[in-house]
This record gives sequence, structure tokens and C-alpha cells, in this order.
Amino acid sequence: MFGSYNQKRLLGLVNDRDQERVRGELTLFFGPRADVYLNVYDKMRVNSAEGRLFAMTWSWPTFFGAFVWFFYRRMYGVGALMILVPIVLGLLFPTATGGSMAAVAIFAKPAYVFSALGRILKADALALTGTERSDYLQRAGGVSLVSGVLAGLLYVALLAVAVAAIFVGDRQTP
Amino acid sequence: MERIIVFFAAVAPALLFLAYAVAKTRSNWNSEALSNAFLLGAVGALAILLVEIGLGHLIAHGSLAPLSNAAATAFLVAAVPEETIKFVILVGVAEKHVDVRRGQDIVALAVAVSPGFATLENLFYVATPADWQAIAASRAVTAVPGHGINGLTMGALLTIARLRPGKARFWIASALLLPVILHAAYDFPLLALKVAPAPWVLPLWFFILLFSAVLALTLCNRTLRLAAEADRASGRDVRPLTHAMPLVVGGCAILPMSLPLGVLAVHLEEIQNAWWGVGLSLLPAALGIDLIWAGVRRRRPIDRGQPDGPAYIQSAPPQQ
Repeated sequence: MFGSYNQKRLLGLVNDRDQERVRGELTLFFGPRADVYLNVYDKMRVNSAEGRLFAMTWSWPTFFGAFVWFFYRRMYGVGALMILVPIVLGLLFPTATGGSMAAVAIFAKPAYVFSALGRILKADALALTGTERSDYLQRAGGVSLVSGVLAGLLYVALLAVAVAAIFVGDRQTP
Repeated sequence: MERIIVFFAAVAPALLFLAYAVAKTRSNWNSEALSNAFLLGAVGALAILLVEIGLGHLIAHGSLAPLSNAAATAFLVAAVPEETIKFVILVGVAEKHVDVRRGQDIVALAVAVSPGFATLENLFYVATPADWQAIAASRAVTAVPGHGINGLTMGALLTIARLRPGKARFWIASALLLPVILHAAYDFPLLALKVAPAPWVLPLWFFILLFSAVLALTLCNRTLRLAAEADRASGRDVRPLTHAMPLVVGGCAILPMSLPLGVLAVHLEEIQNAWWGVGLSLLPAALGIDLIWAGVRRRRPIDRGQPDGPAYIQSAPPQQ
């Protein structure tokens, strides 16, 4: 989902001496608003001295828009899981309550940076160099407005269904 | 505990079909493109549900004759929206994944989108009713492989489009149209059976099952051979042709499983003549035979002492 990598290899990349190259490749992957995610990467680097590769962040688009941001950032697998897991749990365990979006808002940006670092490691594994490497990272990352809009429409439709279900439930209550 | 069993009954057939596709196309379970395609297929099932409810209301309020209504529902409410969303996911997202480098991957992705779609659809059907066992058994041998067969057809035709850029538009259009036709042909007899039960409906449906399976598997096998040759010649897939036996074993396991499952599905529906279930097992049986055949063909070069394929393949420079 976030690419094939492990903590040790990620730490190796984060502590790589040639940080100019790593940051350049991350910028290629992130595309628009790369500076936001580079800041998250810098926080992760600071924390990596203590052996943990994580940073506390907050993502308002994820908090309010749920999976839409993940589709816009082309993290389709995570976005799809965010839609499917609550539905599957709701179908199988109708009495279960939903989780908080706050947790997702905290993890979204670090997860995206993990995804980018994983892609750089994958490019290393494929021994890609030069324009082929840049092309690979750009194609793997970036944003998709179409996916974001379609996911947004689905989000609105699901909200409408949820609201309609509440009203129907209220009317049926004696 | 029963909820967990329901979940596995809904998910397992689709995952088995995905395993069939992974084995056949020599894909990798760890592929992010494959998992994305599967999950997006499931999201597609949810998205299209809302469209289908709207279209269903429109057709229900029309003044069509029962058989025409069944045909319109099969084509416009089920086949067109469902195959279109799968096609959009496959062409718009899955195929563009940066890890998709081989021609054979397109077939694997097409088949991954379809079981993803079938998984969520299956959950919707199986999760709530009291007689979920009968529904799960019948859908495991009919609807889930049916979606998979359509996925195989779509993937095969799309692969031809990529291999023959000169006629790409024709093949891309076929990759959407043929699965739509197969899907509508599958649904129409079942819907017709509800409104106008006639003796010809069930034999027609069995014929459609058999025809769809033979068409999809023939198309897929020929295309996969061409794609494999192209992948090897371009150096995108130079792995040795090993792992033939799991295909044969898998096929041999599917064959005896499919027949009792079909009979059980009919028996659970309390239909007196349970032997009709033999017809239901047509699709999984065809897939089992195909898997055995694929294993035997893959074994031949290994037996001839060419585990890496023909000589020109061995001399191709690896790209990655």
C-alpha cells in the first residue's frame, strides 16, 4: 500500500548524506504544495534521531473530507480502504460504532511521506537513473484532480444517503 | 461468529478468482497496482449502486412489457453501469499505475477489478438475509466467476489494443462492449425467469454460461501468449517459466469443489431437482480445466530443458 520498504531501509534513506538528492526526489513525487510535505519530512528526520520515524501533524482536508484527499493525492489503496472498512464493519456488525476521523487526520501526511520514501526505495531497487528515474517518481506521485472530484462526488452522495437514512429512521420512530 | 463466516463466504470466492488470475498471468501478490485495482473495484460497486437504484426506479415506472422490462433492466441497469465503471477504473487508474510494465499485467488488473467489485456486491447480497448460505453458495459458482469472466474478456481485449496500436480504438471499444453484452446476456434469462417462466430460459442461461466461459478463456489464452512473447522480447519479463505444478494442483482442486457447490446451492434453495446444480458449476469447472491446461502448457518448455523459454527470450537484455 505504501510501497515495499521496511523501517531500517527508510531510516537509511532519511539519514542519507545526500539530502539534497532525497529532497529533490521527494519534491518530484509530491508535485503541488511540496513544501508542506517537505516540512513533515523534516520533522520526521528530527524524530529519526530517537529511532522513530513519525511526526505529529494535522490535515484539515482529511478531517472534513475523509477519503477525498487520499484520492486527490493518488493514494488510491488507502482512500478505498477508508470507504470500505466502515461499510464492511457496518454490514457485518450493525451495532458497531464508527471510529474518529481525528486519527486519520493525524496520520495522513506522514503516511503520504512514507509513500514517497517507499517509491524512492523502489526506484533504487529498480536501479533507475536519470530521466527514467524522474519520470518514474513523477508518475508514481503527484495529484489527480479528476480522481479528487469523483471521490468528492461519492463523498457527497454517501453523506446524502446517511442524512436520508437518519430522516427515514426518525419518521419510522413512533 | 456467524458474521465472520458470512464475511468469508462473501469474500473467499472473489479471492479464489483473483488467485487464479495471479497464477495465470504470473503476477505478484505484493503488487500495489493489483491491490489498488481490487479495492477500487469494490469502491466502484458502491458508487454504481446509487446509479443503479436511480435507473431501476426509472425503468420500473416505465410501461414496458415484462420481457422488455427484463431486457432493459439486464442491459441498462446492470450491464452498462457495472461494466462501464470497471472499464473506467481499469483504464483511468489501474492501468496507469507506475508498476504496470508488462502486457500481461493488464489482464491481471482487469480480473482484480472484477473480483473487487464482486466482493462488495456479494457482501451486500449475503450480509443480511436469513438464507445467506444458499445465496452465498449460488453466487460463488455463478455471479462471482461471471464477473471474473467479464474481467478476463475486458483485460484480454485491452491487451490486444496495447499490442496492436494501429487498431487500438476498435479493440478498446470492444473491451467495453463485449463485457457489457456478456453481462446483459447473463442477467437477462435470470430476470426473464422471474416475470415469464418458460422452459427455454434455463437451457438458454446454461448455454450463455458455457459460451461466455469458452469465449473469454480462448481470448485470454491467445492474448496472454502474445503478451508474454512481447514482454519477453522487450525484456520486461525475463523470469524463468517455473511454477507449473501449482496451476495443475489448483485446477484439480477447483474441479471437484465446483460440482458439489453447485448442487448444494440448488439444494439449499429447496429446488427438488438438485442435479440442476451441475449446470451452475459450469463456470468454475471451466476455470479449473483452464488452469490445468495452463499448467500443462507451462510445463512443456521446462520438460524440454528450456526453463527460460525459447532462445531469443534468453538473449533479451533485462531492463530492470
